[in-house]
Amino acid sequence: MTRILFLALFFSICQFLEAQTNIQLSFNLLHNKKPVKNESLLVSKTGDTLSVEILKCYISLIELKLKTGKIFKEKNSFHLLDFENTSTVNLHLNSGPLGEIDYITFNLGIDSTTNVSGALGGDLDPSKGMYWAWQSGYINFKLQGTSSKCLTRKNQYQFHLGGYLSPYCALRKIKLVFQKESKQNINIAIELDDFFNKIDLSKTNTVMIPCKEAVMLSDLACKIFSIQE
Amino acid sequence: MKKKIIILFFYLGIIALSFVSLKPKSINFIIPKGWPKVVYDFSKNTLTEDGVELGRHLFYDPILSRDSTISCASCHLQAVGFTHVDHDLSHGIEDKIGTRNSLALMNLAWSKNFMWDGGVNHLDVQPLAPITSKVEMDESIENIVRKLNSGSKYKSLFKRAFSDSNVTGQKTLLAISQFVLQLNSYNSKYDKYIRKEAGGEFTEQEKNGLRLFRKSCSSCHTEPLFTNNDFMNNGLPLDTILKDFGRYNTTKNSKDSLKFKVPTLRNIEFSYPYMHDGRFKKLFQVLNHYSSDLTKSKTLAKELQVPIALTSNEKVDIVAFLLTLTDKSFLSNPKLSYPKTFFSKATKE
Repeated sequence: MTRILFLALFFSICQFLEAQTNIQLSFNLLHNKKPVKNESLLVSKTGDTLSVEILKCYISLIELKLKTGKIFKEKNSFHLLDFENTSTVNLHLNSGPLGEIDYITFNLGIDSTTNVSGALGGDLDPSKGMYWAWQSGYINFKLQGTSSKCLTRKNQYQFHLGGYLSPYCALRKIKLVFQKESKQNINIAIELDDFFNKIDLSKTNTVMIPCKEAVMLSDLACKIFSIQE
Repeated sequence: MKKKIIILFFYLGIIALSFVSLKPKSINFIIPKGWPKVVYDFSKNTLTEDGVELGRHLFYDPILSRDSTISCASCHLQAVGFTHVDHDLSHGIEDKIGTRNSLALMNLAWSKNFMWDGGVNHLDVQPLAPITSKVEMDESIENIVRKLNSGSKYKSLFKRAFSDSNVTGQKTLLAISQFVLQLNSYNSKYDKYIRKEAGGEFTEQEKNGLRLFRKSCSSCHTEPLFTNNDFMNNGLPLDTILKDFGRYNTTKNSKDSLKFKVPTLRNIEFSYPYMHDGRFKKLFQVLNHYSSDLTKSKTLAKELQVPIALTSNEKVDIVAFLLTLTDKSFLSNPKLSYPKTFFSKATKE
C-alpha cells in the first residue's frame, strides 16, 4: 500500500516539474508602448481621443519552431483572448521542456475547415459572442469603443473582422522571430497605436461583415503583434 | 477475505451495469433506397433518443425568444410541412414581420447550406439566425444558455442527452440538430409509386403530370429530394419594397444577383404561399409564372430563357402530380409533434 502511495507521489511530482517547464504565452495590450487598462482614455498620434471597450480575438494553431529545427505544435490550438478577462490572455502550452525557440507562428482567426464544422465547444462555442448568425462564420477579431472622430451613434466604432471565403478571407498567419534568446515566458505585445494610426476613424468606423474593408483591416490587425524581449 | 472479494465484484458489477443503462440509446438514420448520400456528418453528433427528445423540447419551447413568445414551431408548423401557412413573410416577436417566407423543414441531412440565400453553412448553426433576428426571436445564444442553466427541467434533459447537466451553446445547437434531422419525408404517394408499394397506384392524370414534370421542372426540382440544392434566378420581378437580391447579399458576387435557394416541392400542397417572399398563394399561379411571366435579367436561369410551354390541361395534370408529394405520415407523426406532457408539467410547477 505504501509503495502505491509513494509511486503516486512520485508521478505527481514529475508532472508538477514538467508543468514548470511548460511555455507560457502572454498577450499584453499596449497603446503607445504603455499597458492599456479597461476603459482608459487614449490619445492617438493623429490627436483624437479614443477608448477601447472590447478587444477579443482568436489565436489558433500555435507552433514553435526550435533552433534545432524541431517544431512543437499545440494540440486543439484554439484560444479566444478577451482582454476584459485576464485569465484568457495568458496561455499555458502543454509543451514540456523545449530548447531555444527560433520563431513562433499562429493564426489570427479561425481556419476555413473549422468555420464549416457546425456547432463546436470550448472557446469555439457560438455562445462566446464571436460567431455570426446570418452569414455563418467566426469573427476573428473584435474591437469596439468610442472616439470623438466617429460621427456615429454614441461616437462608436465597431470592427468585427472575419470571413473565410474568397475573396474576403480575413484569416492571417503571424510569424514572430526571436532576436534574443527565448524565455519560458513569452510576452507578445499588441500595439493598438499601430492599428489606429493607419486608419481614419471618421471614415472607417463600422465594419461588421466579410468585405473589402474587413480584409484591409485584417492586414493591419496582424501587424500589431510583436515579441516583447 | 473471499467474502470481501465477492462483495467487491458485486459492487463493480453494479457500477458497470449503471454505465450501460446510462449510455443513451442511439438511433439509426435511415437513408431511403436510391437516395443520394447525406451531407450531415453524423459522426460528430451521434443521434440518440434522449438527444432527439431534448431537441424536440427546445424546438417547441418559446424560451428561445427574448420574451418567451416565439418558438421554432411558431413559424415551422408540423401540419403544413414545418413552415408557416398563410404567412408570406416570417412573423416574429411583437408582431414584427421579416423579409422572407419561412422555408419548409424536411430532409435536412441532405442540405449543404441553409436559408433562401445559403448564408448559413451548417445545420448546427442554423438556429442562430432566427434566434438573433430582431424581428424573429430577438435573443442571444449566450442568454438562452443562461436561461436553460437556471432551471432544473432542462438540466436533467441535458444530463440524459449528453451525460452532463451543464448547458452550453454547442450542446443546445447539437440537440436541435438531432431533432430537426428527424423531419424526414419519404412516404408520400409518389414514393410508394416509385417503390411499387400498395397505396402508390397513380391515376393516368398523375402519371401524365409526372411525365410533364420530368420534362419541364426536374432539372432544378430534382428527384428524389425535389431540389438540386442550388440557387437560381427563376424570373420573378424584384419586389421594389423588399429589394431582396438573394444570394448576392451573402456572396456580394454580381453573378448571384436575384438567385434564391431552389426549395423542395415535397408536401407543397400545404406549404403555401410560395416563393421566397410568398407572393403566390396557389400552385396555378406558380405554373402561370413559369409558362408566361418570366422577367428577363442577366442572371435568369438558363433553363428559363424560354418560358415553359404548358397548356391549361397540362398544368392541371402537373398539379395533380404535385399533390402526390404529400406525406401524411410525416405531417401527423406524433414523434415530431408538440411534447405536451413536458410543457403541461412545466406550467403546473
